[in-house]
Amino acid sequence: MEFFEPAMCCESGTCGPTVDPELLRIKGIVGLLADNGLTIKRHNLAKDPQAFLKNEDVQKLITQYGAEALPIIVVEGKALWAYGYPSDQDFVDVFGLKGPLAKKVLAFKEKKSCCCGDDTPCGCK
Amino acid sequence: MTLPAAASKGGFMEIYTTSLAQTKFLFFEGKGGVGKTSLAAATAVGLADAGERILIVSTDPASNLQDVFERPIGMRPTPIKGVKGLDAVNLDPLKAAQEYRDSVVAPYQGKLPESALDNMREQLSGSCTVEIAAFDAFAAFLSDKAYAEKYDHILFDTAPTGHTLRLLELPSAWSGFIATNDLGASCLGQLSGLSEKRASYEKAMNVLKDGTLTTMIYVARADDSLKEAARAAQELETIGIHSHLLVVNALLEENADLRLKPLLEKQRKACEAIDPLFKRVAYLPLRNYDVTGLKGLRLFLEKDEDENTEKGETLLPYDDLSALVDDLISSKKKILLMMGKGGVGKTSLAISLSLELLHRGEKVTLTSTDPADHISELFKEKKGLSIRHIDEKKELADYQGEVLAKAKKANVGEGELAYIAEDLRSPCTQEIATFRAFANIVEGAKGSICVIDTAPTGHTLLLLNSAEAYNREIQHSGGETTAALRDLLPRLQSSETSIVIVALPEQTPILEAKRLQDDLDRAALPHRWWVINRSYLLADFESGLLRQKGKQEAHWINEANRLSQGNLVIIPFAE
Repeated sequence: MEFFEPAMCCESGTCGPTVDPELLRIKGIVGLLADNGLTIKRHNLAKDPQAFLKNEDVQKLITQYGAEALPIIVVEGKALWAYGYPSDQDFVDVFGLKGPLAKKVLAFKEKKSCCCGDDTPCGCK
Repeated sequence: MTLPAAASKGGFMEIYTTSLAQTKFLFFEGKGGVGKTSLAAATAVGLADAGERILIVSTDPASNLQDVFERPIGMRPTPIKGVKGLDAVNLDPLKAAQEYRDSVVAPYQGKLPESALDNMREQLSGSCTVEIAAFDAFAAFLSDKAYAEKYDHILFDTAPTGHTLRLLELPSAWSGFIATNDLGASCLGQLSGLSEKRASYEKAMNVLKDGTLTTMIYVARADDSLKEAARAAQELETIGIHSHLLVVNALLEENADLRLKPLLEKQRKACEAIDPLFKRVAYLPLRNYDVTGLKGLRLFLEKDEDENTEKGETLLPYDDLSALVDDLISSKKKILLMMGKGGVGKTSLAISLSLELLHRGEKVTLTSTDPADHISELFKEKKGLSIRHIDEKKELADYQGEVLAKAKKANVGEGELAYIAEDLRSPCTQEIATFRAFANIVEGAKGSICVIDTAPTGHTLLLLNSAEAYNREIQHSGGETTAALRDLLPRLQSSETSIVIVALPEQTPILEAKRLQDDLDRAALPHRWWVINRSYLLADFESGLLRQKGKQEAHWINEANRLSQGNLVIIPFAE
């Protein structure tokens, strides 16, 4: 799995207008998986733009939709998610996690997935 | 108590020269406008004149080393004509950071969409990038043996901040995180090939900590900048840097003019409150000339110049505060922000503006970030005026606490928590925390004119702007941008806002104000007026010293006049 992320002041999200709980969740999961030998490569637009050109899917998506489409999540070379990160369950599925590790991943506080997809805030908390 | 004996009485040179002689590396630390570069340059000339081999290194983006020496100084050590044994080098980290940014972005021109390129550029424009670029620049001079052998003393006209040094010391800064780009450190990530520099950085760090090799010289004036110097010293102290020397510059000595009494009193109080951490303190009096050119530099540590009978430049036409207020009212401004470096008088200007607006029958919400909160004390109640106070330290602490609590809740591991904690000490975090607070105040001030004694920098706003687009998406599902925060950005960029640029009539503050203005243009923020505070020239002093000083302001006031395209207000000195 690879992340293609927008250039940000800091991936902890502390430089945005608010703390982004989503980035904290992702940081936690990435760290946990890394401790278990599962690496997720994170490409940051400011630091590694070449990677964004190399991947065909990513390049197409940002050419068409602009940097707003980031983050784009790629698995085995193919873009599976855009405009956001996968859910806890998605991580479990992609990596085929089982037992206590799966449980730990699922314990991360996830944004409640909801009806999003159009431009109206869907008021989910 | 009278003021401490200053240089004219021999006190300065004694303390200063014996302190300096002890170490090879001398760092000058202090905020803009306190005379840091002048002191560093004068010291370099003085030591060289005494027969030592000296190198002076400038890594200050605001460096006026070239202005001070009145000659171009290059990226390699070059001999200074007229001073035997003195070499100088100018490493501009701003330029280095920009070159780095351009080199990163250029290959992707036309390949990545413009929105992606903008996103990259903004991320590579922060103050952190410049800080690290500066450290990178001087690490070589600290760790390279060839330099140590060639020179008796190496002087730096700027010092690394505690934030930079702590980042470099975090094990996580080095252990793979950065090499693999897994954890985007806000400040370190942009240095490519950082890991190769580890040895050089470590050596540089050891030199900094060794009190037999390095002295940190803090330059301040007898005002709030003393507290800032103490903060900087305390910060370095916790990292293991213990060799401090404090120089109090531009001390006004006893003077009969009654208008100067409060200032003298203020100075005396500030000096009495000097942090005991500073065991060595040297006092340097206010000079009656601008310290430029070799002649000025050679005099600076010793004495005043003979009275100059030449007339100064003639002032271009300028305005007073009421012209500014007329314009603000007729153009229906609702949000007025004061922008400028610390110590230029933003709070007092915010007060004067508010009073003038009240006088014209406007309703005003006056907001101050002044830690002392003088405003609330000044007017308890006044019709049409409401007063708000932002405690920046508290806002920052709240914000840090909030983020760390969330990180812990999100199961973020120990090592990464330490990293987030350090990210939270970066200057941009303070700006964000303050911004959040004043979003709430502006939101609540509907119906009155909001006057705020501070302003976010263009960089912060651009960051917020790009984060905004990104956050919009996340926000659908749990993002926590408040309405106040969302609404403020577009309002700040609209015609209801005006940012007033505040400066003092001296070289460094004017040049700094120019950079702030460029920053505002970059972020498309509306600004029109400049205000020059505390002009000796307009105060028309009898005293030879201040009269003389006033004459030299004219050149810089006229420069400000040009930079503001004639929208300039000058306020005479009145303490």
